[in-house]
Amino acid sequence: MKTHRTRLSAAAACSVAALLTAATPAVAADLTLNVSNIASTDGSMMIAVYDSKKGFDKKSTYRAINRRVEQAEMRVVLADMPAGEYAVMLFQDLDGNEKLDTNMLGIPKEPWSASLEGRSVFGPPAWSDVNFKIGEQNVSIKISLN
Amino acid sequence: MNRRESIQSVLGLSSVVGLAALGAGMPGRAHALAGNAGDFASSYAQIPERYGATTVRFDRALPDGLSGTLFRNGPARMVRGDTRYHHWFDGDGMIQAFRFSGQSLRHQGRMVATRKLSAEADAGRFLWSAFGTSFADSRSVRQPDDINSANISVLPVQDEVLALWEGGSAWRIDPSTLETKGRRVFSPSTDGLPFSAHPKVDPSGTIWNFGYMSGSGKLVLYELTAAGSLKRARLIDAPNAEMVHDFAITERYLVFVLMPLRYDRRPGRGGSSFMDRFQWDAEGHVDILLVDKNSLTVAHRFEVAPFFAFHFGNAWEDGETVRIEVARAAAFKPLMNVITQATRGEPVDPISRPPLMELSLNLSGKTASANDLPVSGVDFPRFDQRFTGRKTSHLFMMSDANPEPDITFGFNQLVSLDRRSQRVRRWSYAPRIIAEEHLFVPDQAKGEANGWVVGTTFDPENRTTSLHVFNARGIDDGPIATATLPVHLPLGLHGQFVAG
Repeated sequence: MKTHRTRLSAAAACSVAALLTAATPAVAADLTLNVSNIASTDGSMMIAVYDSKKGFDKKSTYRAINRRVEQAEMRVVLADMPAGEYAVMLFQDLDGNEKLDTNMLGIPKEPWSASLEGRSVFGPPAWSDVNFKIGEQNVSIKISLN
Repeated sequence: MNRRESIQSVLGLSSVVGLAALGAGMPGRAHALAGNAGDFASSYAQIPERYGATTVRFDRALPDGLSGTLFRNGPARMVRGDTRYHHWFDGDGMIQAFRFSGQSLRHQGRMVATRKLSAEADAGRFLWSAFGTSFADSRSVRQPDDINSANISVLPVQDEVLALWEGGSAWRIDPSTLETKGRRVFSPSTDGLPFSAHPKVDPSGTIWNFGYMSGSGKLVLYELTAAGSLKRARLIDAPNAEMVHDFAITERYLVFVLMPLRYDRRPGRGGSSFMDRFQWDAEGHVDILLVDKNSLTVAHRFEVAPFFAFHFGNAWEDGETVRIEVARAAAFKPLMNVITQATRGEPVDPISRPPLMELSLNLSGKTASANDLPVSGVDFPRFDQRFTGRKTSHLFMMSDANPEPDITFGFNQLVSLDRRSQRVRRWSYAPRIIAEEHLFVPDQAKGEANGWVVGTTFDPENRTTSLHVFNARGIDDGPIATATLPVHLPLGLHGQFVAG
C-alpha cells in the first residue's frame, strides 16, 4: 500500500499488512473498526488513532491508516493494541488533497466521523467525546459515516 | 363564519382546565373541549409522502390581478416506523404549492428529500435525535446538516424554490413538480453553512440572509443577487447568537436582535434534547447589532432589557431612528413546553400573550426604547414585502381568539394593525379551526398595503384544509373567496407568494 505523508500521520509508514501480521502477545488485544454508511467510493478513508489525550490534542497519531474506499462498509483491524485509552478520528478524502476540507465556520465538507459511540458534538470532538479503553479483550467500534 | 356566542359563554364561566381537573359539571362539553387538545397533533395523522395535483373551485371568482402560487413549508412527518417526534419543529419538511387564478385552486405537496429523510426512509425509522426529541440510540449528530429537516420556509429565486431550515443548508426544489433537486451550495467556503429561514429581499432585489451555529460566537452574513447567486459572505462576531431565528433590514442596515438564550454543551446530559439544553438567562439582556450593508461590519450596538421573540415585522429608518416591529412571544421555555404538549395531543399549559412591540433605536443619541403596540398574543407578522426595510403602514398577523387560559394550541384569528391610525381589525374563524400564517399579496397596480391577504386553515372536524383570500384593507369583512381541498395538510410554518 502506498505510503504517503498526510495531515494526520506523524510517524511513518505502517502498512496495513504489517499491522495485521504482528505476533500476538498474551495481553494485547485487537481493535476492529467497523465503518458503515459510506455513501460514495471516491477517495480514501483517512484514519487516525490516538493513544493519549496529549497526542489527541496535538494531533500526533499512534497509528495512521489510509485505505482506499471500495464499498459502503469498511473493516479495519489493528492487532496487538496495548492496554490503554484510545480515540479514533476518520474522514473520507473525496478530493484526494489529503486534508479534511472545511467551510468558513470550520464545519467539515467531507464525510467524517470518530469513535463517538452515538455522542453528538458541536464542533470538533474533544478527547472526552471520543476516548475508549482497550484492556485484555478485543474491542470493536462501530462508526457510521452518515 | 364568526365564533359562536354559546361557546364563548361556556368558556367565560370557568377555566376548562379547572373543570377537567375537578371532573365537575358539564362533563360532556368539558370532555369535548378537552378532546380538542388533540386537534393540533391530528393534523399530522396519515400524511402521504406526496399530494398529487388536485384542483378545486373557490366559492367566488378571484379579483383580476390576483394570480400566482403560494408556496408553503412546514414540518410534516412526525412518525417513522416505531419512532416518533415530540416537538412540532422536528418534523421533516414538506412543500405545499397552491396555484390560483380566476376561480380555481390547484394544490400539490411533496416532502423535501433531504439527506436525512432519504437515510431514514431506507432505515424505516428516525435515525437521529432532533431539536425537540432525543433518541437514546441516535446516530451521532456531528454537524447541523446531519439533522437538517428543511422544514421552516421557502425562498423563491429565479427558476427554483429553496426550502429553508435555519441551522444548515437550503435545499433546491423544482417549482413545477416540487421534486428536490439537491442541496444548495453557494460557494466552496459557504458549503454546509447555516442559512436562515428568514431571508429579506431589498426593494433593489438584493437578497440578504444570515446563519448562526450555537457555540460559534459568530453570525455568517450573506448578500445574494436577485437571481440567488452569492455576492458576499462574511463572518461577524456576535454575542447571544446561540439561537437566532429571524432578523430585519432597513435601508442602510442589517438588524440583529440577539436574545440571552444559552446552550449547555456539558457532557453527561444524555436524554435531554437539543431544545432542553437551551437555558434562558433572565439576568441577561438583548443585544441589538446594526450591521452596515456596505462594509458588513457592526456600525451600532444597543442593549435592551430581555424579551423573547421568534419573529419581526418590518423595520425602517425614521431620520436618525431605526424602528423595528417585534412580535414578542411567551417566554422561551414555557412556549417550547406548550408546543411539545400540543405535538403530543395533550392539553396545553397557559402561556402569556405579550403585546406586539416597536423598538426605537436612536443612532445619534445611542438610546433604545420599546413601546407596546395595541395588539397582544400575536405572531407570524407579515407586511407588504415590496417595501421591506422601508416604512410600511400595515402589519398583518395571527392571534388566538380563545380567551385565556386556552388548552388548545393554534391561532384562529387574522389581525391587521394600521400603524398610522392604530386601528385594529380582526377576523375570527370558527373556534376549532386552526389558522396558519396569512401573508400579504400586493396588487401590483397599487401602492403600499393595497392588495390581499392569503392564508390557509385546518378544520380538524371535517379533516380538510382551506385557502382564503381577504381584501387587505378590510380583513374584518371576512374572506372574499375560499377554496377547500378534499384533504387536510399538516400544519406548517411560513410561505411566500410568486405572482404569475
